Amino acid sequence: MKIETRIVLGTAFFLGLLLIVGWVALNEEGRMAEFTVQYEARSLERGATIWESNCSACHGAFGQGSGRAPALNNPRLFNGERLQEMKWAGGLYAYVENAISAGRPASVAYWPEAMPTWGQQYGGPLRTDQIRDVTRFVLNWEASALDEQNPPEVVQDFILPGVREEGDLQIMASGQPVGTGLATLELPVGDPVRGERLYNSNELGCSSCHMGGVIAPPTEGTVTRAEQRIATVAALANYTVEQYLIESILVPNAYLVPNEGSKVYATGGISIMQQNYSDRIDAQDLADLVAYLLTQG
Amino acid sequence: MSVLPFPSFLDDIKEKGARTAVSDLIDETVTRVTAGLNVRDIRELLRGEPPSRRPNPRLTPHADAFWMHMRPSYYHAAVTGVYPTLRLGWLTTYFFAVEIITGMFLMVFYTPSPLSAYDNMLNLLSNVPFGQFMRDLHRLGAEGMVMLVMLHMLRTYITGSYKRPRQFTWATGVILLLTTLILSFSGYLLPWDQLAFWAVTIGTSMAEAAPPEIVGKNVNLLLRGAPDIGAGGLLRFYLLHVFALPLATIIFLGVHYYKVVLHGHSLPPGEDEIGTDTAKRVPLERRVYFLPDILSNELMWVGAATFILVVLVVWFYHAPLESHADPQVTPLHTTAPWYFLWLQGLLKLGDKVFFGLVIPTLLFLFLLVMPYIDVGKSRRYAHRRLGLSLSMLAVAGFVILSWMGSPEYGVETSGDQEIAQTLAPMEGVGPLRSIPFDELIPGTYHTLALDDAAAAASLTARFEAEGRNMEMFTISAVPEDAPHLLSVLESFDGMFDTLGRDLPNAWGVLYIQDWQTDLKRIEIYIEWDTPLLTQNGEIARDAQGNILLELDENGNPIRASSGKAIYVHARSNYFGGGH
Repeated sequence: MKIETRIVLGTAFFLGLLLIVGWVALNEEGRMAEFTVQYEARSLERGATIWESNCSACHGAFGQGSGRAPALNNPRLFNGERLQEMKWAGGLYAYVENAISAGRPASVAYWPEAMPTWGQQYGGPLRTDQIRDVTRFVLNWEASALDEQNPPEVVQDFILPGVREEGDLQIMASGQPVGTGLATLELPVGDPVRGERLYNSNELGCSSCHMGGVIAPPTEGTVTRAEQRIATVAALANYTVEQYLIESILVPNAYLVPNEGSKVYATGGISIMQQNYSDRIDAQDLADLVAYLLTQG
Repeated sequence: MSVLPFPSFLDDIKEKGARTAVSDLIDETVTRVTAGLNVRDIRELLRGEPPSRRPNPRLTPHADAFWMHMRPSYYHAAVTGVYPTLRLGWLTTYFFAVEIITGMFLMVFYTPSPLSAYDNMLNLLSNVPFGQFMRDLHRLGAEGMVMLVMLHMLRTYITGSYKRPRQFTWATGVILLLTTLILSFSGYLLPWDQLAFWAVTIGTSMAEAAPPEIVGKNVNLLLRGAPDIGAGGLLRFYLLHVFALPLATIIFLGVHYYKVVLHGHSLPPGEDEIGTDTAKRVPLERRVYFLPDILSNELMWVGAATFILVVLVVWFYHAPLESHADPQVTPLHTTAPWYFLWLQGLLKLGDKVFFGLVIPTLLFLFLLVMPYIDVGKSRRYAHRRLGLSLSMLAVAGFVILSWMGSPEYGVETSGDQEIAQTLAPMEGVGPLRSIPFDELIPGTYHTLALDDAAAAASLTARFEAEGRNMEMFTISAVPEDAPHLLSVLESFDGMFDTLGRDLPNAWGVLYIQDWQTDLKRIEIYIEWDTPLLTQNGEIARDAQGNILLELDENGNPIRASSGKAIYVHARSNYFGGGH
């Protein structure tokens, strides 16, 4: 009996199909597990990007914390102390995810600013999947935070309600704005401690851009960079570091720091820095700020 | 005798004996189920023997069974080969069946809401056995169906099969082309990723242009459920995709198939006398019966096509899934799906209403009534030189417009952005992420130094003298054990001659930092001399075509720069061919 070619071919194709589908079935578990690992890694990468643009200004690029928000690359977050302190009954993932999405409205009582609500369901800008991305990024500090040989730098630890020292930080007490008359300016002796508080204060907000160097040049290393600039830039040749700092605060457009990589400090010859500090502080405030900045080698 | 007014099965047994009675009962049941074929007929059919009784029982199901009456009872031998149909119409129907089956599987795991649609995709890929397989099949099937339906139309045109008496069959086919396109397009949105969101945003923006304003505004509202695509739009597209459009397709597919039964398959153009159509008067010796020959042939094709599809989705094709839809972030090069690129190309020619609405509508109407306009009797190729040339021109126009619709044509992006996008695209992988993780050695690598240590040292000295941030601008030569990094840096350098030719004296660096456990940050930084711009905002050139530079008060060129940072995790598996 003659068997038609199409019958042979058709049967071969169906048998081939069965083999391939069977092979796929055997590998499905592994494929799904691999997808999950890969997806979570990529989610963490997106979380890092969101951290850089939204969180690092207060919590620091490396999670070291600042005068405005606590360190998260912090052993106390990962060793259970913090969860106990907050009487949190769930896991760490849920704790962090919750803090990011719902924010901490009450933290304004002991930080210069409250932790904002980030989740869209609470009126913030981030979707649920983006909150998960950032949470994964934060939790990835676990290994370095708990590394006892090489402990992370914690600039600012968590603060408990009522612990923050609230003083009367009165800005422009004299009522006389310092103005931009640099040639005739004479400053009183500055207090670096008060200067740091001014720098981190909500009212002036210097650290919201300069902390960690995310939006503007970083606070740390200010003096070194100023010295370098005075040595290399012809227009700054006769300046002292102090003069350079004063001019930068009062007249931000006088000298523009070149843009660095993804960081744009000036567009079209105009600095992104606020231009009105000369109207908002008095001579004492300026002296204190400069005294603080001079401690930032 | 039975007490009933007709003989019972028991009477049959008494009368014929148990064996015969049972076999008669089976025979009768089989005949009813098959609408005409008894056990013996089926046995002969499977063995490839001619039918042993007259009239031919194999014709009965074509008259009495619902699905079989949609198929002709026999074909002309001249249309059973690959030519002239190329099986394109059949294959389209086959793909439609694949879409229905895989689509029903996918529906089980899908909720049409922006809050869950993307998570459903992730769940499908990470937690549902055969989830990826089914999604890939569905997506590939959709692209295949669009392509096949277009080719089928082209084939029908070329062989002149749309001519009398098949004008109406052609018209239903044009409607099926439209429903297929919209079916595929409406499915585009459902994964709720960036690709989906922006392709559909572009696609539906045409509706808004419909004049007068009140119509456009309301059509847009009707389609999107809100001024922008959101929860309402997703639900509407979902319902179109799983309900309204499949229904319309099935209805017109029924008409289309019925017309084929009615008129027969058109013979190859050379077979008939000019002006006659003998497709329904097939001489006995040229008949090929549907049962069993055409059916077994089709079953073989089902096997072959499914085999090819499965091989493709298992080893070669995976449906794209970009990041979550984000109305705030417009991707750099947003395009419509490939089968609507021609429309995007048309839109670049000028007025949105004229090129985006009037022309496509006229084109569709023209296709619909084309067979009633082209009343030339002859189907022979030699007699249709004008028509065939026009069709080739139309195909060429489609290709050119599609190219014009792509970002290749008429989209101005600055060179530095193009380079950064090519190295590390917003979506997908790109060469930078493909570098193996352990080759991402922290340091700054310069396109002018590559793996040359002396050049790196002299650049470092220069940057130090310029007072740059030395944390970033201490240049290293690419180490020997990082060949992939070196090749990416070399291609980065090469891009300044192509994508970055409007960036005079440009160079770039890759600044790699350890960031977290298993996580690195890579910054792409590009610097160039600012070109002088004319009043129209174009780059000014001298007589030789060299770019003129903007100079500062000392006559030195002003450097401009841009940067972009990405993060790479060790387990993202970009270099392992992860998609």
